[in-house]
Formats: sequence, structure tokens, C-alpha cells
Amino acid sequence: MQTHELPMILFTVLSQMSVGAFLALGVVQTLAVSRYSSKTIDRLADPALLAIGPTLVAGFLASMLHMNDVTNTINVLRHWNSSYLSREIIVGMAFAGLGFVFTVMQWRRMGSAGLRRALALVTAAVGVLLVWVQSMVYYSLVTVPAWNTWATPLRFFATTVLLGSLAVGVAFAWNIVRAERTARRNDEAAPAEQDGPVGQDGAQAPESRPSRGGGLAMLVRPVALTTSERESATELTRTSLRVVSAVATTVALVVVVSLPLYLASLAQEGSRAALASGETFDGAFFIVRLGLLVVGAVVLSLVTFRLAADRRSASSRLTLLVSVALLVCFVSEIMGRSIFYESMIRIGM
Amino acid sequence: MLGFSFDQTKCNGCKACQIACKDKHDLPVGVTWRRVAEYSGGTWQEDEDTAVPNVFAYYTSMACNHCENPICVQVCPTTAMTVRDDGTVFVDDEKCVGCRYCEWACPYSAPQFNAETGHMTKCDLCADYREQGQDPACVAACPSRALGWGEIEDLRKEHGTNASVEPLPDPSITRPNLVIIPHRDAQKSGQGTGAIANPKEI
Repeated sequence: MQTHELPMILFTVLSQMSVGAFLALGVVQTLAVSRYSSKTIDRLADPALLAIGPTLVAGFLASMLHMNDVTNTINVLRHWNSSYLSREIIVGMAFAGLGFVFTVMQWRRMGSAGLRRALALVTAAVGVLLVWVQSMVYYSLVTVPAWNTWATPLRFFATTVLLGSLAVGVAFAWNIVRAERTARRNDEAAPAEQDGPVGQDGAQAPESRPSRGGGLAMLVRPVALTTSERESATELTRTSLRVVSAVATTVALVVVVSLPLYLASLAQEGSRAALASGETFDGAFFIVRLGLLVVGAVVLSLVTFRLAADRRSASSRLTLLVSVALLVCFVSEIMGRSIFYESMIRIGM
Repeated sequence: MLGFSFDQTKCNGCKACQIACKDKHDLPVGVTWRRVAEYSGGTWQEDEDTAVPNVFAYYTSMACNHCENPICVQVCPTTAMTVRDDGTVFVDDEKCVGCRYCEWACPYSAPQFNAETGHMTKCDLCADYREQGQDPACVAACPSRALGWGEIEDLRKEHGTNASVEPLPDPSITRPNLVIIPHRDAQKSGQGTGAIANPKEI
């Protein structure tokens, strides 16, 4: 494991996961809108959206550790017209800023739905640009053959899609489990009022907390839904989980298939540095990274795919499955990024 | 534009240049602006009952080449890495954040990290010595007079334009202000059959 570049490993993986989750939420919003009420979609999507911010901030904090003199930090913006590193920070801050504004507007229902939608689109585009610029930081180094290849943007976008979609799957699944738990508790408290709005509105659910406070309470407090809303949200979650697991498996296959092509291109490049870089994609660490990717993104995802189609399967089980899949894929991606930095061998002397 | 010339036919790998540089700039352990690479290789053939070796080794002393197309300057996010009017590339301590991106980029390992200051450091062709009319420390220290410095145009007029010698990278990448007078066994950049024999030293 490359502990030396740990700040960069965490920064790139966490920021890519954030972009991926934002994109995945956008896809769900776009595709689900014809079949589900926007209330149902928002109930599932909003808590997931709120989790993106802290993930991105954690990534930025990790990136600060990469610098050895933080007192000069602001200077990293100066060379935007030449250095991809400056551009990475600028676009990263733009994504964080837009994402923050959008999240606040969405959560407080500020502005019209159209305005929020437009803002989400711009944010998503900036997110894609961020991952692209991030890959260019490495791709643009013509003196590092291991990075100066098509495989660099491919890898970065693979991480984005894989971790982003799985993270959204996990967020949706947890939401449903919580909603079911709340409903069960409320049923026990007020068995006569089965179909009325329960929980947040207070009247029928004496144990529920007041609805004001919003914010983080939204993440902490169980989502309160009517039975039909809950069923609709469950259906949307299961459909999403099927799509998410199919996407995860596809990404894993692309990553696995691209590897021999990448190694062949390094061998063809033929320089001492390229050949030495190729040798870093070997050994136990690399095998475990690939193994975890296959377990998380293929095996567990296929089981999730099957289980999500079965209406009798328990939501808690499905949640556990997709959570483990995300965790395993996250560890695999961290290891993969570690190997990526390990493979950095320069031409010359 | 200022640059260095280096005569591989004269260098015997004594590393006086490396030590003179380290001493002059009081560089900490692990920071070595000028380094001497030993590049060696070769094969052997069987000639009836005799094994005939065909081997080679030569030295290359390398610091910063104050490139015409300096990749370190291009990638630096802070503009701390800049080119002076005389063509020398230097690091502005007031701006550097120590992200080490230039270290990743430079194919001559010229920018080096100083853990004490948290900043990058590199050869400035002994700017203070030059101001006083002296030669850079490495050039002055070389006992076999293999190192030279000056206006790159003059150096090229005198020694030719070759800078494409293993283990150096293809000069078209950063266009170094460097002239190499090649060893008789020197191999062209990118077509080397040998290897650096002292990788941990450089």
C-alpha cells in the first residue's frame, strides 16, 4: 500500500465517488419521474444528496495533507492557464460550491423546480469536468508513460460510476429500511390508523420528534411515509438497486478487460520506465485488488440484482448486501488507486 | 539563455561536482541537485573456446538543464517555478506549497523536495557565484574539466548540439539547455540497451 500518496488516493477516490453519486441521483431523477411522484423520488434522493457534501469535504481535507506548506495554499490557483493541478482545484471548488447551493435549495425547496433542475444539470456537468481535469493532471505528464495513456481517464471515470452508483443504492436501501422500521413502530403505537400519514406529522405517532429542525435531522430521523408512498418508494429502490448492480458489474468488466490492453500498450511503448511500471501491476496486493473488485462489483452485485427482483426478499437483507458491495468496492478502488500511484515511474534519470 | 555542457569522454565518475554543489548550497541529506549516473551494459559472445565480452560504462553528471520548454514550470500550480531573464529556472520560496508535482514531471530529477522547509529546491546555476564573476561550484570543482557552462549558443557552437544520450530522456520533450559530448559507447536516448548502475545514488 502506498501510504506516501494516501492524501491523493483519498482525495481522488472520495471526490470521484461524490461526483458519481451526484450523477447517479440525477439519472434516477430523470428516469423515475415518469413513473413515480416527485415526492417519492425526493424522499429517497434528498438524504442521499445530503451525504455527498461531507464526502467531498473529507476528500478536500485529505488533499490539504498533500501540501507541505499550507500557508501558501491559495497560490495553487495562480497557474490556471497552464497547470492542470490549478484547474483541478478550481473545478473542484466550483463543483463543491454549486453542489452546496443546489443541496440547500433542494432541501429547503427554494426556487422553482425548473431552476433547481437547471442548477443540478450545471453541477453535474462541472462534476464530469472535474473528473476529466483530475485525470488530465496525470495524463498530461508526458514523462510518466504509466499515466500518459487513455487508461487514466478510463480508470477515473470507472471509479466515479462504480462507487457513485453503489453509494446511491446504499442510501436508497437504508432509507427504505428506516421507513419500514418507522412504519412498524407507528403501527404498533396506533394500529387503527394504518393508512394515514404517520410519523412526521405527529398526531398519530406520539413518539415521533417534532418535524422542525430539518437539516441533519433529516438524516437522523426516520423517513415518514404513508403506506402507499412507502410501497412506491420501495419499488423505486428495488428498481434502482437492479440498475446499480448491473452498472457496477459492467464497470468491473470494463476495468478487468482494459487491464491487459493497458499492459500491452505499456509493453509496446517499450521505454525502461513503461516496462518497470507494467511490473507494478503484479503481486498479492494487485491480485487482492482485482479479487475484491470481482467480489464486490460482480458476485455481490449479481446477488443484489437477483434479490431485488424478488418482491418477498427482506429490505434489510438487500441493504446489507449492497452495503457490503459498496464497502468491498471502495476498499478495492483505494487499493487500485494506490497501485496507480505506485506505477509512477518517470522516463530519464 | 544559460546552460551546461558535459563531456562524457572526460568524466571518470569521481562525483566532485556533486559534492561541491552539496557543500556550496548546504543541502540536507537526500537533496542532491547534481548527481552522477553510471550507465552500463553489454553482452558477450563465444569465440570458439573463449567468451569475448563486449561491455561498456560511462558517466553522466546531471543537474537542472534550465530547459527551453520547462515541464516543471508548466505543471507548477502556484507559479513558484519560473524562468529568469537569463533562462535559469528557479523556485520562489514565497509561493511554493511543496506539492511535489514538478518532481513528478521533470525527467532529469532537477526539482527536489526539502523536508525542512516544506518547499521544492533546485539548481539555480549558482546565481550568487555568477554575479561575482565566478563559475558555478560544480564546474569549478571538476578535476577533469568535463563540465562547462555559459550561453547555450556559444556552448553549441563549440561542442555541437547533442543532448540525446542515455540515460537522459529524449531532448525534444523539454528542450534542455544542455550539450553532451558523447562517450564513444554512448547510446541514443530511447535506444539504450544498458541500465543505470547506481539508481539509489541519483
